[in-house]
Amino acid sequence: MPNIKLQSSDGETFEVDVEIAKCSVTIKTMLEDLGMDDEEEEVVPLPNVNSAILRKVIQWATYHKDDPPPPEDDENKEKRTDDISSWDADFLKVDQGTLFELILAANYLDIKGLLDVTCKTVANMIKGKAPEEIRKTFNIKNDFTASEEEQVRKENEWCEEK
Amino acid sequence: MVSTRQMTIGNNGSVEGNQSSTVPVEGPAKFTRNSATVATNYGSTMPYCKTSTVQSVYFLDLPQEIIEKIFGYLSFKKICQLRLVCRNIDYICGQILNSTFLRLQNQMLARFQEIKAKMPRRESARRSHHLACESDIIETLHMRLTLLQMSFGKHIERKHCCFFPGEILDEVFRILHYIKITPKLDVPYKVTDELFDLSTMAMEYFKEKIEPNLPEIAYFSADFLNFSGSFPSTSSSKYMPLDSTTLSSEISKDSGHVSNDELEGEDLVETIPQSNMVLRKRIRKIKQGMKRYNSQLSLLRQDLRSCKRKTSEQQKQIAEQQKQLADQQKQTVEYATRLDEYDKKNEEISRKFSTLLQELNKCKTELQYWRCKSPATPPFCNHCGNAILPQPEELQALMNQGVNPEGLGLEPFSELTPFLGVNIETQNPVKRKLKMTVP
Repeated sequence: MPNIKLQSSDGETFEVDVEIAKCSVTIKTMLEDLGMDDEEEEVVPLPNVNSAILRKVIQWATYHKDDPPPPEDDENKEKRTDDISSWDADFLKVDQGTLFELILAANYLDIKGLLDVTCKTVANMIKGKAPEEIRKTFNIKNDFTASEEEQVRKENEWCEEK
Repeated sequence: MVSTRQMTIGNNGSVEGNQSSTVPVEGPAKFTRNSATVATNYGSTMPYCKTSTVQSVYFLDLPQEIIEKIFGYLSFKKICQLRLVCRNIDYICGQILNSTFLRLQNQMLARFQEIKAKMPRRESARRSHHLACESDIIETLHMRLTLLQMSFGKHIERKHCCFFPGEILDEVFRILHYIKITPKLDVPYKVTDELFDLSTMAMEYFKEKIEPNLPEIAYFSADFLNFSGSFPSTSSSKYMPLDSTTLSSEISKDSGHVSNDELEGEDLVETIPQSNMVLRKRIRKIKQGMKRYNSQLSLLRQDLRSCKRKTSEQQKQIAEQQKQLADQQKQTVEYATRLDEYDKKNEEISRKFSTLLQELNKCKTELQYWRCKSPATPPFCNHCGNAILPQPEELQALMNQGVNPEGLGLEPFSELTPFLGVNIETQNPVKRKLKMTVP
């Protein structure tokens, strides 16, 4: 299999199988559009991904290279977040910053499978938490004025049993 | 490996529309207003913090479409709760709720029309059609969403509030999922029961508690004719539906012109063509409004018609049941009269029996009397001990009853002989008695 060189934002170069690199739709379309020859030793620069994140992305793509293409999003489908494989769950046991950077990288590189699983992981971090706990978890400051907060609180009371 | 991360301060944390793929080229880290101040406070409480380095990307740094994708894995009820976290998230959640509400409305309308096209024209034939249940459910969904739109729509359009009853959206999706996975639908009203409750609750709550505090909407004032101009000036104009309705977008396009024209129109009343234009524009807007209300009205009419149909069906049922009830009452009355008759008959029978019993008693006493008089009992006088001889008339009576005094050990008296002779002559005293009794 031919290899391709990917360069991270901080200048590190990774040599990976083309098929693995094509997990990324962005790289795939680029290769198709440019029609890169195998002989050419050209390096693909990825200015939006640093080496640490790129390494992780390549690790993920290598493990999932034989996966069938993920199904298209159906707006009315059931929302499930409990279908994360144990390998993925282990893979995503990283600090929050890395997780968010992985999301950004998956979005930039257009890797749907990775984007889905990372977003699900964040959704799971939100589930079952009260607003205050979410603020603490994600370092968010409550910037509501008292009246604004009261308004939202009041609106949310519509279905409370009397 | 993390040392290359750089921090760039300056981004004030506001969500930047659809810059999904515009991750900063040099140094992926954006430092937000929030994170800069809060990071130090909460740094130690972060569960995912393994490294000692400062976190480079925070939740609110993620592009809006990513946050929307993440929230897409949550229920709409949860999304409603999330609104309380901060302004930014409230804004994003409001957009999600509004756009989902709008999307569902359009989707239900399309689906309703699609199913309706497949159904026969005749109402009676529709009822037995295999799509009847699904059609009923979708019609209800469409109807409820339209009713909600009537309550919330105008305020959502003006960004006074967002579609806050997220549970309704969850329920609609649950019903759609149920339709999808259930091969044979049954009892449509049970499926939509919860939706009925929730939507009614939401509308009532909105009208009672929320709407009075929202800026008023005057339908036929200048505001109505020109309301897009007032959008940005309202204080709580924070929710903008993602795919804003055609109406508002259309109007916002020419909102600037209208206000200009209006001003000029006021100043230059004599310039007839311009004022004509203003008038035409106003008329067009009124027409648009009328069209909208007409469509809503026709929907309401539809709803009313189905309600009427249902009431008439129920009235029919009630009439039938009343008829049955009357029948049963008639039957009961009949049974009562019959019972009375039986009672009367019973009384009569018991009376007859009692007279019979009396007769029998009489007979018994007579019999006893006759028995004690009869020759079979010792014919001795209690006082003197002499044998009591029966009187000739008694013997005669005995003989009349077919008893032979001789058989009883009594000597027939000589003076009785002629009687006996007669008796002997006749040979059969019973017959004779019979002859005597038979008239």
